[in-house]
Amino acid sequence: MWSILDTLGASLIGGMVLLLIISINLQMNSLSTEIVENNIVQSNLTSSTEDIKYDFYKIGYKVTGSKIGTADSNRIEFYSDINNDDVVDTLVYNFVKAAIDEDQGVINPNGILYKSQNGGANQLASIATSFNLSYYDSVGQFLSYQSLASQVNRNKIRTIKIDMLLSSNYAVNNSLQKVDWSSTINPKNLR
Amino acid sequence: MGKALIILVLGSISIYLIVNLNVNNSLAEASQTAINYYAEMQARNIANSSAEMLLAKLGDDNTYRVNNSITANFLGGISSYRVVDTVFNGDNLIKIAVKSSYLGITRNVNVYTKSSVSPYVPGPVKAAITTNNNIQTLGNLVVDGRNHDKNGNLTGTPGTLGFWTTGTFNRGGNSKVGSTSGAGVDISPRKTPMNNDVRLVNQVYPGGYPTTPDSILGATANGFPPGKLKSIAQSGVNGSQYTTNPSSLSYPLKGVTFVELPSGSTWNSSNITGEGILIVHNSANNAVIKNLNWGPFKGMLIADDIDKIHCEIIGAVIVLSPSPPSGNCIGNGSGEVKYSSEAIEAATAKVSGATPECGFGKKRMKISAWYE
Repeated sequence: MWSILDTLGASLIGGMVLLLIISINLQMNSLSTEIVENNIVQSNLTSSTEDIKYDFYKIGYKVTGSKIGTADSNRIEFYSDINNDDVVDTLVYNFVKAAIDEDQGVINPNGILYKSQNGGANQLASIATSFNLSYYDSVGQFLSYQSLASQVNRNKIRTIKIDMLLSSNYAVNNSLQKVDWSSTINPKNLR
Repeated sequence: MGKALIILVLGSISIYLIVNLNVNNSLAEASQTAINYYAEMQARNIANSSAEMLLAKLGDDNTYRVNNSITANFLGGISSYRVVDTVFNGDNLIKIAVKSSYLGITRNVNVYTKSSVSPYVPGPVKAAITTNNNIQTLGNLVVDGRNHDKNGNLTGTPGTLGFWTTGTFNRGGNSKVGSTSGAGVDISPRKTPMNNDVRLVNQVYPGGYPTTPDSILGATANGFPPGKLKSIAQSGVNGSQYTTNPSSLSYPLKGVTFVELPSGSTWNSSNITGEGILIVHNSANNAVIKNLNWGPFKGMLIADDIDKIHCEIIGAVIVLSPSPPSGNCIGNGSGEVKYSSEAIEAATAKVSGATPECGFGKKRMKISAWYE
């Protein structure tokens, strides 16, 4: 009789331990996937923002005329000797919201930030969920996008604020990993 | 049963350890990404701060140069820098090249800056009136080379001669000439004696007398390549104006006023009320400004040919043509020309990019381009 009770008790405790371990493993797997996805998004963000800042800091470098050709919420065209070769280049950053994609039942909201140089083909600058540019004059006053249709007003731009949201391509536990980045850039050649 | 349970437990623990290891690796990568980002920012900040400090040094001493790279510890990182002369777009500039590193991340900054220029009296201003032709004064014209402030009051500081010409000078009527002589003595306007204390004649200008307004301001070497003053006037900066028709001018004149008359044309009679640099010139060097009836004008008047000053000019007058079509008489009425280094410097400051002294009496630098 005691032997049967021992076996049943051991099986019960062993089963509970087993369930606990399996549960922990499952949670660890999920957490691991989340961390990896988050890490990927963050790596994408740092590499993308590094490239963006590299270009934006140089707006107007060695340009004697107008330094910004287009200034909109998701598109900017500017001039700069980006390669430091005494030749002024034209750079365009343009954000295009992609068609809705679905993955694992969760909508992937990513769009594409394109970059082109001197009228060349669009190149992928970054995958982004949103990309927004704001422009400010020398006293920090916001310049409306309508006013920036005029070159006279574009010449007043001294500060550019970039807001960018990046999401993972794949959902984990029905949610996307997201990283928000915001930066205010004062190109030294816009003064 | 017991063995199976042990195998299951050990297997699960193994899986847990592997997953845990992966998580740790990911976290370490994330930390490294953050560290790299911080290092990049820090390297950039160090480079920009180094450049700013070198700019401050240049502001204190325009002759400061570092032709061979110097390496220094700075803000926890390392900066190597050079400060050298360079030329960009025909402009003489100073280049500051900085290379900074922090935690193995390197960032470069290149700054092109212009040596700050003090407001100055251009070299070709040899006297209150400088000409390249024979010159004559009549009537009650007064030309005073003593130094005046921009309101026409004597300052007591050294001025210059009344006239300097490559030709002859003939004083007539009741006209008078004053000066600060070569010996540094102020001489009140007088009729006689007309000697070298008040005017210099038959002079030879070293390298040839300037024939364009830009060469009066020092030409390319001084930041005034051909057409620079005209482009400033056309830009409208500081109230500058450019016209081929003087009747379209707005008053008072400010900045650079460039009147480019058609060949052989005359601006008659002329209102020159205002300040800055007034240029009456064309490529044939035969633009005439005649009967300067309305003033005062404070600054520099540069013209191919000036035919009779009847108003007050505080600053200096320069005539470019060696054979002015209107003749040699520069005034036969009640005009006054008072030399004023203050008025001239105020005029040149507007076009040379010179800035008033600031910050412990030191001049700051003008940034042309900043690469980071």
